[in-house]
Amino acid sequence: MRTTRRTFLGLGAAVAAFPTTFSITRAQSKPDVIRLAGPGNAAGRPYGNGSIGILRGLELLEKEFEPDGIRIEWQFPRGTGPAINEAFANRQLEFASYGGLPNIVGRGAGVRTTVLAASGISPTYVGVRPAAGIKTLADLKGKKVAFQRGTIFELSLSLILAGVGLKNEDVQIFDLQGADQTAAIQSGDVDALLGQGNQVLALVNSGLVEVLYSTKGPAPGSTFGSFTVLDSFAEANPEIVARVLRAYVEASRFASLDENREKLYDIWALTGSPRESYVTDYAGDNLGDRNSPLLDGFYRANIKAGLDFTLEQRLVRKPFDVDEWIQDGLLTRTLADLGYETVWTPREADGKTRT
Amino acid sequence: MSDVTFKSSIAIAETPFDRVADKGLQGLLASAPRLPGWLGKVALGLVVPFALLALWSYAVHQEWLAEQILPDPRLVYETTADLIATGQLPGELLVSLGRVAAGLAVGGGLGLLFGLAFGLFRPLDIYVAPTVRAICLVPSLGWLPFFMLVFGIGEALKIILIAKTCFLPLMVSAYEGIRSRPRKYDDVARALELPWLARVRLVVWPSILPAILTGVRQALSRGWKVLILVEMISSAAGLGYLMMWGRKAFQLDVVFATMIVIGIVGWALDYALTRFQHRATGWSFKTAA
Repeated sequence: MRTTRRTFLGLGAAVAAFPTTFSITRAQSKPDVIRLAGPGNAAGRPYGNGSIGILRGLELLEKEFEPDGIRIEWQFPRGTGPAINEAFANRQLEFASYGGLPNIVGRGAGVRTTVLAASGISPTYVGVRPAAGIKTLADLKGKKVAFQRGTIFELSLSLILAGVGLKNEDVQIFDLQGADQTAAIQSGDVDALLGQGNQVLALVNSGLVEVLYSTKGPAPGSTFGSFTVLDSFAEANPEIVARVLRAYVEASRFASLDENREKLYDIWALTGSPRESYVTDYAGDNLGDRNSPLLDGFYRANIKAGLDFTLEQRLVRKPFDVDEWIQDGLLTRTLADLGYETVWTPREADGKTRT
Repeated sequence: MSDVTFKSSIAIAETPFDRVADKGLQGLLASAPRLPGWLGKVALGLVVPFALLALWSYAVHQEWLAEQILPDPRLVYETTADLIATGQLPGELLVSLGRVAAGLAVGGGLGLLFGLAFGLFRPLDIYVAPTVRAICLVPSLGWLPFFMLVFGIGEALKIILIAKTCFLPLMVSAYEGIRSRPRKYDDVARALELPWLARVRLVVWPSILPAILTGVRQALSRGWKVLILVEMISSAAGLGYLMMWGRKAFQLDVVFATMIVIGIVGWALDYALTRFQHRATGWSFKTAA
């Protein structure tokens, strides 16, 4: 083929015309699928932890929307929070329950979501390699610490280290996904890791790490999160959002009743994490404290601290109005409808309940 | 000056395609008269990047993708400038270049040795080379889980993976260089009764140099690509790390800034090597005809 100016120009014209052939059509009718996401686990099957895991395990949404012919799709990406943000931005998700930090980062980057309820809280565990010679939190100075960056453990580490006068910059952070963390601990390349109970305690069971510290109690550094909805979906389908939230609150209540404790462990064990890791993680804890959906003073204080941290770390470049993001009107109505006003007691900013 | 060599080599080569391409180039250049030749070339070379930039701006303007996924080019420009001003980008770039240099030196050097050995000693070629080739043909990513367990996730892992990637191109090119060398060169050397050392220095080495330099170029470009990959998986510094961090922080402008730097630096490295190749072994292009 001869490359002439004419073919070159012709090609250029074709490239210029290409965009106009696109047209974006958005169906406003009832959706045929509702997509939900939660953070994935280091290993095992794509089931969730906490209330979102129970929501899936009890198949409340599947039953709720079966008469409407609406499918429910679940995603539990290994990339956890950051991957969920990408899916939200791509409009591949409608709802997600995930860690407070990526949650804030996503909203800060301009992904239009609204908080419907809290995800509950969960202790953060610091697991250390027995041979690393780390006896106290202060010993972490200069050591190699692994966790998935861009997740809430960024904030957890900062709060835990602040307790002994250290900063995140005082340790060497390795950005590793779950399975790689295990390998790195095994080979002695990292000395410590941060994670939730089901991950770290499973490694304790296999003898790879010892628990140096946990925020069970809870202490500062516990993970928190939000159950959010994509704004464009919420505006088009307010009735569906109310029904999904209702199911979510039902799941939270199920996860808060002590009589369900054994059933809860069974459902969470579907993730593939050992059942005993959940038993140890939840031992002695009030289930209602762990899985409260309330957008109370404690939740708001956590989110505000998270926003301050992300701004300081330049993870979020433009601050946004937290109170506008957190819409508790629908949650309050749902709780009243279900008669669940007294199931959970609102906590103050310091995590204590009002007396 | 090497540019002259390049042009004359084309003129001598005079393959039909080159002639057509040359004509087309001149035809286009005619539309920009009264400009020095090189300026016209640069302008022409910028047409495609600018067209791409225009398409990108248009896509952002039309919101084909969410702004968080396809950031505004202006934002990417600001972020790049910011990353350069704070010294973060040059710092990460230096780390990455250091790793590639180390990997290329180790892997390329070994590849060169093995290639020469296989080319020169027939038994080695028959009994050892197939195994070495088979090992090399398992992609670097396939080796990664194993390497991670053996070498850990430190600096060694990165350099070994890059070295592994750089090994094969140089081994193959050195081997081919030796095997496909015209026999007449040896005949001439024998006729001149050159001593062994002089034969290697004056005849053998120059005759395989073009193939080796091509191998180095390939090794460098593959090593550069694999570097970014390794840095994305486990690292606390380097361009790949910066890219991954941008993704984790959901700042795609940082990812784009890194992508552009990776592309430009990779291209510049290849371009510099090509120029060096033409300068050092320009004769081989003439004799190719």
